[in-house]
Amino acid sequence: MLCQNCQKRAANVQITQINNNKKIDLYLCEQCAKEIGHTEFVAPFGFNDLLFGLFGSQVKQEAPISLKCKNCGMEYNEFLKSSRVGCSNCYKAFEQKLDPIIKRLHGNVEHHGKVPKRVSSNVSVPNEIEKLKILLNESIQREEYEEAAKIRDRIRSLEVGE
Amino acid sequence: MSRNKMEKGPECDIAVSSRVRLARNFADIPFSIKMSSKHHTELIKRMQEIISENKSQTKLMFADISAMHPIDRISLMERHLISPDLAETKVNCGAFINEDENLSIMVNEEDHIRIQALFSGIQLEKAYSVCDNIDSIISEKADYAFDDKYGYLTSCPTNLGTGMRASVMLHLPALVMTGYIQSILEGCNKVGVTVRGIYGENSEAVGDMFQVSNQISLGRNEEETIASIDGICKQIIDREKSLRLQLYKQNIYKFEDRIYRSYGLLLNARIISTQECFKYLSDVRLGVSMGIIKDISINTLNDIQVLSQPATLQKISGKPLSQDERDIKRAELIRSQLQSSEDK
Ligand SMILES: [Zn+2]
Ligand SMILES: [Zn+2]
Repeated sequence: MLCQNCQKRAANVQITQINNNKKIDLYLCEQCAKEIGHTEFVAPFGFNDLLFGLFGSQVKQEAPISLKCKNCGMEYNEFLKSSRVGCSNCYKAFEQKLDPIIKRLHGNVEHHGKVPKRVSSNVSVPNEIEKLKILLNESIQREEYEEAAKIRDRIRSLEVGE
Repeated sequence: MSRNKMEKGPECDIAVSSRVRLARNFADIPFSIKMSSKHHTELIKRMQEIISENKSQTKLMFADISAMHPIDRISLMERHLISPDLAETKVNCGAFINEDENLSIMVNEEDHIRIQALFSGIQLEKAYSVCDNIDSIISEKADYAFDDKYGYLTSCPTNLGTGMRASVMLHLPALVMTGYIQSILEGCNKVGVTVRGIYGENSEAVGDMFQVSNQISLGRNEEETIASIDGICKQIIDREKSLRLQLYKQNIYKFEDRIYRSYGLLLNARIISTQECFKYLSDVRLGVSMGIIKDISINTLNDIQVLSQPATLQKISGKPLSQDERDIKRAELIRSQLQSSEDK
């Protein structure tokens, strides 16, 4: 596919533009995509998940912000250029700015899924409940009611926050 | 080079491979963009200790990517064992790779580590369980950067949550021939699934290969994500199959002519570029998949696809080759692979 702007180079970036509530997909080469800076990047594709400028676009109109991560020294504006955070603490330091962006990217800002073993997390509780509910259904189907009652009690205690 | 060990997975004529990768970072070390060379070295050392302590697991060999010749690095990339980024990076990096060459852990990529598993056919669940297993072992020995709300913390916010990308490589010549591929691309985008062509120099998808993967990693758990990619791929495969049959019935001579011509070209060419090779391979793959060509296996075609790439070709030859030399060498390799496949 050729770039829809210059018609010369290979298109390797997809840009979704919203104009008057109408969604338009553009397929551009890297150079042209960089030049068209005012668009909102939604779905990049290409060999290395080209993500340059992913977050930079919407900030140009705003006054420069001087958020800084105390842990690694990264400034928010630095993040906007690279789309990469400097450390795990950056997510806390830039939360107020990053949270809406993350929400737009993923459509959700609440982790569901695996939790690492050495982390004690609140996420693991809903996960645990989900798993127990499956077990509960299975034991009911097998007509193992004693077992089912135990599982039900365990779910209840997790739900009240034991 | 143990590609032949790759067992044939379900639907492997259309679903070439399934891959799952997990992005992970350690809590006590800054992320890649803020890492010093001291951090890079420390991280490799830490991972070597974790992996060597673990005796029960499948053997993982450490490949010191930094010490490798560029051709060897790119060859690892062409064999999908490391990412293009890792092949090109200037920082101290490495990868742990298992004997079957279907599991690798990249160190000092965009994230501290990236665990990835690759299987033939449509086998995302299996690929995930392999990654999940090694991930759990690592997480017993070190603290990952993790947040209740955002899940696994990653260098780029697009990987937050599970840190997982699940992808399937599909061969879709009939969808391309008929132009229906466009509506599939659009439809998938609406449900948070990315489909992208594997692009070459000439901007069209190379050999009608497309990669289907999840766009979103936060808010959906691993099983849900895998189930949705799996379901979408199966639908695409079904549509591809019925279109193939339709095209075949419409004009059997034209259909078979295209396939046999491409086969003939691969069997007889003396000079062939990567681009051309992939184009004809696509037709031959279609022919094998539909039972029109019976004397070659899908595995032979997969081998050719991997071995005929520029860096791997030079690695086999044991010396650097100019473009012209590569095109000649490639034609030789294809002929010998196809002939030995016919003999079997
Ligand atoms: Zn352009
Ligand atoms: Zn930071």
